[in-house]
Amino acid sequence: MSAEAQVKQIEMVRRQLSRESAEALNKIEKDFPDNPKSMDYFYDLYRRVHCEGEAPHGDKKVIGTTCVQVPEELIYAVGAVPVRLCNGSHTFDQLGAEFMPAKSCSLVKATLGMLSSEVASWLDQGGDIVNVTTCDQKTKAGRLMEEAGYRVHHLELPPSKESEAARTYWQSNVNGFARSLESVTGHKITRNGLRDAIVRVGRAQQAYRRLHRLRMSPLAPILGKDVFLVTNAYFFDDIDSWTDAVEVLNDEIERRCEEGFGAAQRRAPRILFTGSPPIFPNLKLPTLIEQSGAVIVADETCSANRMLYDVVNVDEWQLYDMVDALADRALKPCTCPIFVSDEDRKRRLLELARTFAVDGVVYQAFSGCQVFEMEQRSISRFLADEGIPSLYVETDYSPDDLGQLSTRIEAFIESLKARRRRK
Amino acid sequence: MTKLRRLALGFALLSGCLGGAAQAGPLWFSDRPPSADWSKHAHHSHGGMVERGRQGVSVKRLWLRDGRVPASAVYPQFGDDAEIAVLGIDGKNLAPELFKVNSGGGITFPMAEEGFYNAYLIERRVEDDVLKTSIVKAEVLKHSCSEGHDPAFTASRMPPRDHAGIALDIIRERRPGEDFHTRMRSGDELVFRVNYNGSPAAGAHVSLTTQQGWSKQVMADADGRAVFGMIRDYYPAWHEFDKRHSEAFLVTAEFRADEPGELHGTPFRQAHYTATLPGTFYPSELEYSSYLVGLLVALVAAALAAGSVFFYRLKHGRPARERLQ
Amino acid sequence: MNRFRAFINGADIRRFRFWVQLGFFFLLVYGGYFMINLGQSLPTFSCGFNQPGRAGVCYLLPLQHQTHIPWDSIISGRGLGILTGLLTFLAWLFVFNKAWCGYACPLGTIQDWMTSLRQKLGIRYATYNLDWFTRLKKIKYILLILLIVIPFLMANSVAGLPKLPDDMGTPFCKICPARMVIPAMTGDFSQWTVDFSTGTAAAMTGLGMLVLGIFFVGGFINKRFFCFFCPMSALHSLFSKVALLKLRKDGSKCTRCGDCYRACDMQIREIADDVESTTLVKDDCMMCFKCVAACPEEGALKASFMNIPIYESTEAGFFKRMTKRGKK
Ligand code: SF4
Ligand code: SF4
Ligand code: SF4
Ligand code: SF4
Ligand code: SF4
Repeated sequence: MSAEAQVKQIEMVRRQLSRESAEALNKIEKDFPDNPKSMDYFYDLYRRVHCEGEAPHGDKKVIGTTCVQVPEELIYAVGAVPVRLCNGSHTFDQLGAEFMPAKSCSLVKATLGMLSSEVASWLDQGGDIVNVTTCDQKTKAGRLMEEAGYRVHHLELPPSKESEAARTYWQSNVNGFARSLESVTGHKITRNGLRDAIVRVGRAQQAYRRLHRLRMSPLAPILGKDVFLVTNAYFFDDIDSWTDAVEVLNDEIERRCEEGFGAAQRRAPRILFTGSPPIFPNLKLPTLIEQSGAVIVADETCSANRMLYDVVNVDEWQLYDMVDALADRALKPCTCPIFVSDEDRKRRLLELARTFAVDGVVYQAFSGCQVFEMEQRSISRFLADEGIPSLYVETDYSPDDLGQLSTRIEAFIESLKARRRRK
Repeated sequence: MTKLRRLALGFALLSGCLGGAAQAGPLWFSDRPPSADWSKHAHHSHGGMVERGRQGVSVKRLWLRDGRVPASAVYPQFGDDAEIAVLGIDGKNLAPELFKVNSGGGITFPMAEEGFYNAYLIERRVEDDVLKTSIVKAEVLKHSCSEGHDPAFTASRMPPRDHAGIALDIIRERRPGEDFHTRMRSGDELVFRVNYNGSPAAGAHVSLTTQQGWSKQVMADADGRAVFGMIRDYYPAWHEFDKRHSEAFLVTAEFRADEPGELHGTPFRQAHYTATLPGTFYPSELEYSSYLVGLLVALVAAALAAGSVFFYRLKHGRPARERLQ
Repeated sequence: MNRFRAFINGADIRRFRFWVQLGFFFLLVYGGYFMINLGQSLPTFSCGFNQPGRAGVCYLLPLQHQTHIPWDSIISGRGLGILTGLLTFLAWLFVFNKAWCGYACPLGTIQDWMTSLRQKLGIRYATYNLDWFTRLKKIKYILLILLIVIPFLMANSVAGLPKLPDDMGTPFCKICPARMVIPAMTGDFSQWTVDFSTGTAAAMTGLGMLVLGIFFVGGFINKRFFCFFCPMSALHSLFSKVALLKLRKDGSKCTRCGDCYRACDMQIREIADDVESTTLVKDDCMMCFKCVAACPEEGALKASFMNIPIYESTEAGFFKRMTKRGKK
């Protein structure tokens, strides 16, 4: 391809991307009444970054990550900024199809697509990525990124988290990652630096947890599509501004709770969302659910709850303990389906369903995402045994199945409403 | 007064020299049985040998002994005219039982309560216008760990008691911090007080003789006090050394007073009192325990432990080494 | 009431423990000078050799005396003595359970101070790997059995074997580091010796000094090094199920994040990974409740007394502690 043609193609992709993002954002923002005022920070952020292509971190050193298992505190501690590269756009999904087999996961394809396109890559010149060897597709994608010219640290994750051997293996891998961060950035991780990073992330998590807790209120004070937008912003936003914005939002939500203001109807079925992560602009399923009259009150996905909920506890504020603690925080509570056992995921779902008085569960699996597809049976059976209705949705980033999806979802929500009335 | 005292000293020395060979040594009490047969009845406890009496109450058996050197003192029978008294914890008189057997004789009495008992045997006779009084005393401890160790209780039972009714009384002063478990050992300083009719018997001749016959004599000071440093006289081969090896010692006090009087119609010009108090002592802890070796062992162990941790981390601990410090 | 609850649950357990431990340290090590006497059967290492400073006696000392008993006198006053001793011990334990270890034991406190020192110096702690952990943890039971059986074999000849020598008396005390360490706190170093009077005595006291040396290094590098082998802890654990003070867990609220496991000085894995049990006082647990403070989930872990929760894990408490400690 000539240089000129290349520039042209990039321009085309950029335009397509911005159109896709703007459409999604419009839907989320404009199709719903009574959005919280403080959501404007986030709508504006997406508009700038996704639609207008603004680089979120200016000239700061950026390290790309591809999974919640990466302890981002370490990245902050070397003075760099972590940016989660997991991508949700159909445009990039199509671009990435070139690198992956036909029946593979949209998320991985889109991420590769973004990295190959030189469009809206949030990375800097160094092109440093830390890729976690989770599912097969991500593991191999790491290699493809390397081929595409990025400098990739392959952070090895054990396939099971039950044994102590797995734990120590992971801890030493995380320590190795810390060392390689030091050599990549030329910054030493110091005790104070890491401690500040931990407190900083802890503050963000505290804000998230407050939002999470506010959603327990019997009258849902905020819609799930907004919360997904908020947690998605954590992928790329400056962490302190993000935290402040969430706290402002929390205050407003709290006021709503006190005033008895609901973001959805009083009778709206309360949904727990689980499975493959909704990532902007692919908030197709959450939007559909809430357009159909239900409200997402909680989730168990790695673009929201699984990313922000679990907090680290440090016993001795020295490097040797802090790094291991970060490793443990990433591994031990993780409910990702790539691990052998699904017991923790079941317990987490059940606990969320109970504390959030959930009426039904929606389980999204990206077609091609084997692990989520494989866990579906046991999870659905488990939920049924616990008396919680659930809907399994297999989908991808393309808008083609919208019509079919909305029929299924409406039917599910109707059944939930009927079930409620019977009670 | 000093003159008088010097005179008394002269008399005492004289009588000592004259009487030493001819007359057997002083009488005293001992809880060591004369034969193996008798040993079987008794067992060791804090405060010496005791027997088990009715309803499990400890019974003390004290044998009368004759002779200045504990190792060789004989087990005599005692005269029929001896006065005997045992004073219990509360100072009340307990009725002791007398016994006479082929191998000797003495007294037994039950010790129901924890603390110190004082046993006395007093014999009097007039000889050459002199009243000779032997006051045989034993201070016996009853303690069993199974009855507990309340420090306040122990403290209340510790102080020695003076018995004003006793003409010449030897009282062992307590050692600093003494409790029911304290043992007297070689190297310790022992303090005794001698009372004559309840007040200090200044100038009394007090001597201490150890099991093997080492002896030392001092004169009681103005407060009636006599101080002895316990010597070491136990020299076994190293492998035979026994830290629980106990030896007896005997304290004797003599006091002369120019008090004419009469005993059962026999007049006398002077009175001569001899009091005895036995005790037990053990080898000094310093003879068998070593700080130096103890410290060395601990240091070597610590050094080895520290060294192995260090080398373990250096060699084995791959993951540990990869960790950030 | 709710404000009060929140205040308690937000408490910095370290600070609280530090002061309570200090208080107990003074009470148990120097209380004797103030005529305090808590009896002969304390379920903690208030060492009997620390005279006159001790304010009560570690139960293991009378226990080892009492089991030095001939067969035929077991059904007598002495046998009764064993029983009353045990009952008093149990009464103490019944109320505070293993918190005697986490809050009162002077030897435990000294080990915690060594840990703080190591932490200040920035030296990494050592842990056992799981294999060694399960293997080594049995030692405390073996010691417990020995300290009961050896005195008994001194008083009785079993199966025609000769009785054990007298110098085996109070066998565990001979190798207990507290015998050297605690009296040393009142300036009494008389226990720091090797006794050469007999071969047995030399072996036992020599072993004691050996253990002392290892205690200092082990306790420095390993958190609560000695407690892991402590027969007192083994004795506690035989009875800890019935005690009033409990460590409770609500497995459904637990995310198995392992925060509590990390905080646990005794490396108790079950505290995080066991989501079935409702009471989780493992045999090594010292009921320090650091795990409760480390847990971010509302009510997942709690200390309860007679089923009344007294200290509970809360999100607010967790973040309060984290921000406070992360600031320094
Ligand atoms: S699904 Fe699992 S592997 Fe994938 S990003 Fe999420 S947590 Fe990581
Ligand atoms: S040495 Fe140890 S076991 Fe013995 S009394 Fe002292 S603390 Fe208790
Ligand atoms: S386990 Fe530790 S704290 Fe408990 S009694 Fe033993 S030494 Fe003391
Ligand atoms: S800290 Fe709490 S949530 Fe985490 S593993 Fe322990 S009990 Fe479970
Ligand atoms: S389980 Fe909890 S209470 Fe027990 S020792 Fe560990 S941290 Fe302390």
